[in-house]
Amino acid sequence: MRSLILASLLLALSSHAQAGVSLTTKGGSPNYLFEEDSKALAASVQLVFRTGSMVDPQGKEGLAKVAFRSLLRGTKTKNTEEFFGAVERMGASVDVDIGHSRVIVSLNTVSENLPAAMSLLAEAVLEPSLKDSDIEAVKEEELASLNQELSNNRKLLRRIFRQAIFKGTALAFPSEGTIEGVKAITPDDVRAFLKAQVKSGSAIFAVSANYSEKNVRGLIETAFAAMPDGTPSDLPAVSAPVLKGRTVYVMDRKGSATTEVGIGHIGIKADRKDREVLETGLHSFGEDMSSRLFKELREKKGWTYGAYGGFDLFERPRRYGGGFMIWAFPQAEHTEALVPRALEIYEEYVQGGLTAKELDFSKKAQTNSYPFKFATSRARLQARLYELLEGAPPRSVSEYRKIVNGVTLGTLKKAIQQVHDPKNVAIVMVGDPSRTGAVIGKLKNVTVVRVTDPMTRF
Amino acid sequence: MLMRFLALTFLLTLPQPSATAAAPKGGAEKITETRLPNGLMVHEYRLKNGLQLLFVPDHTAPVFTYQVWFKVGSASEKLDPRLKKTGLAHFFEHMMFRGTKKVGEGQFDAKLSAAGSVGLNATTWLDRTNYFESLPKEKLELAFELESDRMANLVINEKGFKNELGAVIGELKMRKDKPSSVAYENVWDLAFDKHPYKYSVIGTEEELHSFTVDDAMYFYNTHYAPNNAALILIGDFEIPRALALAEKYYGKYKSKELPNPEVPQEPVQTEMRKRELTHPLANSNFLYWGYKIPDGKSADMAPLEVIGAILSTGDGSILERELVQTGNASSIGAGPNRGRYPGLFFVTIQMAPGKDDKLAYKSLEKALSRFRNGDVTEPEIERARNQYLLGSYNELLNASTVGTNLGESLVTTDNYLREFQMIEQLKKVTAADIKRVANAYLVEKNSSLIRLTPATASAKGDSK
Repeated sequence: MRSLILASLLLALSSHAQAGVSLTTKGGSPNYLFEEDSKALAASVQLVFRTGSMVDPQGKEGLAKVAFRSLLRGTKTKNTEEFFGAVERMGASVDVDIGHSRVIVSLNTVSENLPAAMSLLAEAVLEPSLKDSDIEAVKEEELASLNQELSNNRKLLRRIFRQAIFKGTALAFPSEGTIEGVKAITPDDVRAFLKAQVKSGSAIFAVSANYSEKNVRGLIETAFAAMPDGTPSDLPAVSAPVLKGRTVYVMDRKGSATTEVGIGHIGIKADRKDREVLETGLHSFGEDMSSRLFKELREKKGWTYGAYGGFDLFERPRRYGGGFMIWAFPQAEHTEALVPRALEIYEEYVQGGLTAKELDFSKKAQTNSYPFKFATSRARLQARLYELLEGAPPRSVSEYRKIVNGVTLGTLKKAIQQVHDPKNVAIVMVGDPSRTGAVIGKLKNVTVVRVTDPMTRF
Repeated sequence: MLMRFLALTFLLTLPQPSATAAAPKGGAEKITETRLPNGLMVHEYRLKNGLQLLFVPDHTAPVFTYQVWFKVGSASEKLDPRLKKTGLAHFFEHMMFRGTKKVGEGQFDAKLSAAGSVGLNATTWLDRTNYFESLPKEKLELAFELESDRMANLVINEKGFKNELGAVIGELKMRKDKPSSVAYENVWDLAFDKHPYKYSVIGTEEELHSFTVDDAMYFYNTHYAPNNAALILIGDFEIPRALALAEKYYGKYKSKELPNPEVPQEPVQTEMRKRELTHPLANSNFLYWGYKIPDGKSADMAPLEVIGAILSTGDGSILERELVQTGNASSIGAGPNRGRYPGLFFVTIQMAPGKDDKLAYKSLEKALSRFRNGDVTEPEIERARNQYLLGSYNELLNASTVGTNLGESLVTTDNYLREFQMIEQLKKVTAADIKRVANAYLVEKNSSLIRLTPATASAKGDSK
C-alpha cells in the first residue's frame, strides 16, 4: 500500500490533536460507537448526521440527497477524478446513503490505510469544492436515476405506497425526491443546505475496525478537528393521516407479466412498548417461509413467487413511525384471486391473532435467531446505531428472550388489534390494466385512485 | 503438513494431498488444511463415499453457516440424454424444500425456522446448485440431520409438484418483467451455438410445463450423490464433533456412478453477433456485450478481473465517470463470468431515458482500444487491483460469503481456494498482461451484443 507512511504519521500525531469533534461514548447521547474486530482486513467508518430528506423544502424534494452526494465530487485541492482516484487507489471507497431522518457518509477501506482514508473522508466533508458544474452533474445523475425508476414496477409500487400512507407529511416522497424537485435545486440551495446541516452537534461516528478504540478516536479527532460547531434545527414532527376505508391506488403498466401488490398502512414507532409482541405475531403471519401468507399464496396456490407481510418490508420502525405492508408479486393472471385472498388472510389475523401452535413457532424462531443480531462486528454496530438514532431500546439476548417468551395469545391479539386494521388500508397495484381492472371490479366499497404520474402529489 | 501462512503477503499455497493425507479414521480422510487471509483455517476432509467436507471453525459468535454444494446446474441437465432441457435443475431446487420420508410437507422450513435459521435459501446456476442456512451453534446436529436427509430421502408428490410449478413460473415471469434479465439471458443465447451455457437457467414456460415427477426423481437419483457434493461449515463448532456428525448422517449414503457426458465443443466465433430486442416495460436502451473467454481455471482471469474493475468498479472507473456521472447511463457493469467451461466477459450499460446510446459504444470502444494498445497506466491498475482487494476483504467478514467463495471456486475450478489465490495473482498483473488478454478476448469478432430498446418509440434513446 502506498500510503502506509502517511498512515503511521497520522497515528503518531493523533494523541496531540485538538478535538473539534468531542467524542463521547456514554451519557445522554453518545456520538461515537466503536466495535473492534481483530480479524477484519477491512474497516468501516460511518459518519452519520441527524438530518435527511425530511427537511427537503417543498418543491425541492431530493435536496438532501443532491447536497450530500455533492460532497463527494471533489475538494478544494482535488477535482472529482483526482478525489476518487486518491481514495480508490488506496483500496477504499466512499459513499452516501440518504434516509428521511439520517444521512450516512461512509468509508470502507482496507485496514492498513484507514488513517489516510479517514483523512480523505474529512477533506470531502469539511473542504468540498461544491462547484456549480459538479453540483449540476450530481443533479443530472439523480435525474437519470429518477427517470429510470419510472420503468421499474417494484420501485413504482414503493413510491406510490409511501405517498398513500404518508400523504401530506415530510415522508410522502422517497429520499430520492421527485424529477421536478431535483430540477428546481440550485447550487446555492446545495451550499446553504450543507452549511446548515454539517455540524458537529448532529454528527455520530460509528466505526468497526481492527484498530484500538483509542487509535480510532485519535484519528477522528484529528481529521475532523475543523468540523463546524452547532446543531441543526430539529427534524419536523410527523403526524401521518389516519387512513379511512379502503383506497385502491392503481398504476397501469401495460405488458407486465406480474403485478406488484402492496397492502397496508402506517406502522409503529421504534420505541413502542409492545413492539416485540407485534413482531412475534408477524413472524407467523408473513415474515417467514412458513408463514400464513407464504404458505397460502405461494405453496398452496402457486400464484406468486413471494408473499410477505411485516413492518420491515417497507419502512422499519423509526423514531417517527414506519410502515406496515403486505407485499406480493403474483403472475398477472392470478392478481384477481390473490388480492382479495390476501385481504382475507389479513382480516383473519386481526380478528383471531395466532393459534397456540403458531405462537409457539414464532417464539422459538424469534428467540433462537436473535443472537445473529450480534454475530459480526458490523452487525453489532448497525444494531447500536439503530438504537441510538431511532430510540429503540437495546435488548440483550436474555432480555429479549424473556419478553418474547412472555407473549400470550391474549396479549398478542390485543396488540394486533391496536395497530393493525384491515378495514382502513391502502391497496396499491402496479401492473397490466386488464388484470388490475379485474381486481377493482371484485373489491367492494373501495375508493379508486388512478396514478398516472407517481412523481407528483396525488 | 500444515500450510505455512506468510502473514505479510497473505500467500496461500495450494493444498498438497499427498503430503498431508492422514490415515482414514472413522470414515473421514483428512486431506489438508490451509489458512485464509483473515487467519481462519480451512480443514478439508473427505468421507469414504466421496462427500467433500470443508470446515472453517470460527468461535467469535455462537452461530454457524451450513452450505451444501452440488456439482450440478443447468448445463448438466441439458447434457443429460434423457432430459435435454433446461429449467429442471432450478425447479428441482425448489422441490428440495418440500419434504422427505421423515420430514413432512412444509416441515423442513418450519423446523429450521423454529431453530432460529437465518438466510435459509438455495440457488441454481450454470454449473451448480447450493443450499444454505445459518443457525445458532446448539443446532448443529439438526442441520446435519435435515440436510443429509434431503440429500437422499426426498419425496415428490404430484400436488406439491404442481403447486411449486406456479411459484417457479411466477419467478420466470418476474424475470421477464426485468429488461436487464431479458438482455442478460439473450447474451448467453446469442453468444453460444452448441454449448449448454446457451440456455436460460430457469428454462422456458413450455419446458417447465413439460416436466413430470418422474423427470424430477430421475434427476435427483442421478445427480444428487455424496460424491457429487461438498459440505461447507463455517462458525462456532469443534472439528471432531462435526466429523462425527458428518459420518453419522452422510456416511451411510453410497457414492453413485455419475454421468460423464461429452460436452459439445463450441465453434470458434469469427464475427461479431448482434441482436435487437424490444421490451414493453423498458424506458431506455440496454446494451449488453458478451466476449468469449476461457474457463475459470485460466490464468487470464486475473487480468480480466482487473479490466472489469478498471471499467466499472468504483466511482473512479471509466464507465462510471464517463456515463453514469454525466447522467447518460443509470447503471453499468463489467467483468468475467468464471465458469467450469469457457464463458463470457460481460459489459452491461443501461442508458438513462432519452439518452443516445452512441455515447456508450464510444466510451467502451475508446477504453478497449486503449487496453489493446497497452495504453493503461499503473495508477489505473493499482486502483482496480485495490478495489478488488477491498471487495475480497469485505467478503471475508461474513461467514456466508466466505462459504460462497469456497463453494463457487470448488464447483467451477475444483480448487476451493481459487478466489483467495486470485488476490495474489492480481498483485502481479501488468499493463502487458492487460494488453495481451484485451487483444485475445476483448475484440469485436469475439463479441455478442444485445441492444434492448423500449417497445414504445417515444421512449427510445436513438438519435437516428
